[in-house]
Amino acid sequence: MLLIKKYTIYSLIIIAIAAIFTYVSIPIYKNIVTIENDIWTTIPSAGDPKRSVYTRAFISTQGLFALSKPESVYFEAENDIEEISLNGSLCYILSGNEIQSASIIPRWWSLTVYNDDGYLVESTEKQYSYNSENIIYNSNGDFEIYLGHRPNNNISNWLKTPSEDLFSVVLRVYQPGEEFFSNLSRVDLPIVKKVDC
Amino acid sequence: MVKSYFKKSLILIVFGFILHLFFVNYFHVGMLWIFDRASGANESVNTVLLHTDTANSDSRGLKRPSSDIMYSICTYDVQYKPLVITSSIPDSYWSISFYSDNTDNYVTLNDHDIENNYLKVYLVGVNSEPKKVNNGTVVVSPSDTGYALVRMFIGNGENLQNLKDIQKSLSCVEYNDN
Repeated sequence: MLLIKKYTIYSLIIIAIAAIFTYVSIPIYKNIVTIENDIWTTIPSAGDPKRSVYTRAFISTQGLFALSKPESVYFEAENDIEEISLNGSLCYILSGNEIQSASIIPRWWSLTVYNDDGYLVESTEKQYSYNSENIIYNSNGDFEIYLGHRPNNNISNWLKTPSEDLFSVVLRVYQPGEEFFSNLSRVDLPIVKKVDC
Repeated sequence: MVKSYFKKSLILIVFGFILHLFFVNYFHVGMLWIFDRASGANESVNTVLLHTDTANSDSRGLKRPSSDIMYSICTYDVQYKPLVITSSIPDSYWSISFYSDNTDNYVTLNDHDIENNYLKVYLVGVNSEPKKVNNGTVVVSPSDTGYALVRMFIGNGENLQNLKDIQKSLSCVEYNDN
């Protein structure tokens, strides 16, 4: 009986140590494998069969079926340009111009707002994202998207954010070309700036 | 006494690290199990599992769904027989991505890779090579089971009904070449 108790305690300690290793390894792993581009982070070739077990586990938490190079690349922004977490109680303007590298225009791109739990924000307008074909561009070819819980009369493109919670923006770029993949940390991507609501 | 505790602690840490590696290595299995149960994939193999409309805030099948894409999924088991996948292809972005049983994306074909706006893929396992293949692309799955995921870009939504019709044309059936 004493022996069973002893090995049960050992097993629990091993599980606890494994949990600590896992908990500690996630931020370390993120810093090692993700590429940063201003406010955006990306894992190059997220679905690649040659990816590490840590990448596979991490991607499993993000959506399971990721694509690999050269089909698509995903960027995620959780902070604004002041490096403060995106928060639904605040308002932001996401602004950018044509997303491309070395004059190769990607097949298409999209920008989507997600709740902190990774699902789409409840919206009666059913406008959860904008893509390169349905976004309204400014006359100079740039675009702006207002990120807020309520619309802004001055900006046509509006994505509803949660009323108070944290949220993130995901940029998907499809078939951006080899040059784009070679410059993931340097390509021009949109910025997110806090504004008055 | 101190040496004994040190030795025991070291052994526990080593076992803890091994368990951690095991957990990380098989984490996707747990996530797939949740997905299979939620989508009914474990009861529906070698057929079209589901077609999704554009994602909305009620979509809970997968995290971070794209509302710019219509998805279709075929689950497969090609241990004994190949699978034939056919579909019409729109003039806009369309792709079919193949995922092995550990969620690795080992092949993706898109509308630019496919001639005459019509897809015909023979999906074969390592030990299930078909005897004959007619007018199609052969894709070899590194695992017996897996998933084929179709993505269709909806763009500005003007062509949505046509895309829905094309989505319905997807077929995933076992290939009998005897």
